[in-house]
Amino acid sequence: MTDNDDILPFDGGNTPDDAEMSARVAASYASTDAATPEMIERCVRAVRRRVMTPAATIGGPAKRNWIAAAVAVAAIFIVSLTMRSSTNKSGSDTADSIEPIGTVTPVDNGAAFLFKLSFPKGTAKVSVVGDFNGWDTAATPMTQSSKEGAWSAKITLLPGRHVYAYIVNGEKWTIDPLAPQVPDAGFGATNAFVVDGEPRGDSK
Amino acid sequence: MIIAGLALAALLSSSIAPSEISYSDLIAALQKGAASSTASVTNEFPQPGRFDPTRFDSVTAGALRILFDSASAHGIPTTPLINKANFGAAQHKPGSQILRVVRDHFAAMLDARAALGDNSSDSELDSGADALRSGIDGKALVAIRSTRTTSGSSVNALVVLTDLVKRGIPSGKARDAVTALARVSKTDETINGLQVLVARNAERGPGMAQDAMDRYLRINAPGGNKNAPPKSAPRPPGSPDPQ
Repeated sequence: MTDNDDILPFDGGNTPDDAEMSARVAASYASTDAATPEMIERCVRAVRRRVMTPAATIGGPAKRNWIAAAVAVAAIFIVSLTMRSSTNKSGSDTADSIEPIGTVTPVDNGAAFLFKLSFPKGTAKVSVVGDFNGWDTAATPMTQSSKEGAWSAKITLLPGRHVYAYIVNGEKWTIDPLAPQVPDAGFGATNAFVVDGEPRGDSK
Repeated sequence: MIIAGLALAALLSSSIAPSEISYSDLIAALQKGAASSTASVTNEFPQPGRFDPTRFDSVTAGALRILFDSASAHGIPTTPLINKANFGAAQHKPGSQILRVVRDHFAAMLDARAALGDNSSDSELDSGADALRSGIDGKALVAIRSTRTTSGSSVNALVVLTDLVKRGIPSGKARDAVTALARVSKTDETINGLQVLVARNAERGPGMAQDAMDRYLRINAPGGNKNAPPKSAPRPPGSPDPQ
């Protein structure tokens, strides 16, 4: 062992002679057999395979990310469509989600009053209940007067205040949100309508 | 055909003796029925507010009957109370809840009569009771009633007043607004216009409803609402803008 044994080649400073090194490498290559065409072809294929593998190219992983993102977007779109569809089924297409807009107008020269209101498609049955029919839920069914969802019922009313509400599809009690409302006494909200001409106590 | 039959039945059940009905009367009745069948059916209810004890359990029915008798003894109309009970029965509410609601309304009607006077109509007492239960005080009822002393009814004004308060208008402002409009016009059209306007704007918040009400009053009852703020409040020079 000499002191130079601890020195690595190319370690700077004490580098071996370049000319000698080159000669030794050239002699080593010269002693090997020449490459056959098969070996060259195999080398070329190996190099091409490495270069053209998607994972090794710049666009490979990015392409996969784009595909994943597209799949995710498509999935979100499909889920949102499904949710929207189910919301419509239980929401805006039913009477539960859209408030009715109603009117009460005198007809037949004031002898009767036409209760009219609109509900969206999907409303199968509407009735009006109130003081005038003893709150009988089956007494005053409304008829659908247009395909747009207008329902109406003509009712004879005595002079005075009348409290009323609507029953949709036989079970849901609802009111006209814009008509005068009566404070809830514990049975639910109601509307009020006044017919002029009620006698006072001193004229009864 | 059913309506024609009903018209015929009505003719036959009238005070005219069957022998006095001529052939032309029969034809006229049938024609009238046929004509009315083309229009929508008119629902008539000859006895609204009738107490039907079979709609309640026996205990509740008995207690209700006592309440109604008590109301009659106090000169309070029973029809509004029966209507409350029927409303609860239609919703299949328990008897105890129905009794509580009817009793509370009975008490409120007594208070409403004290405010509105003995000659108030049934609907005025009914509407007044609802107004009191919604937090409006008796002075407001007196103020509303004072606008309809000789002619007309204060029912509509009371209904609108209650509705305004329910939609978030402070009771004092609502009272002043309805009173001002009732003084300006003997009809209820302007009061009903206020109700519709407030109802539409209340969907955007009580503040919007109140602003809309103030604008409506400036147009329809100028000077009538003494408590309404002026269009532009004068402020001393140099003082900060309250806005």
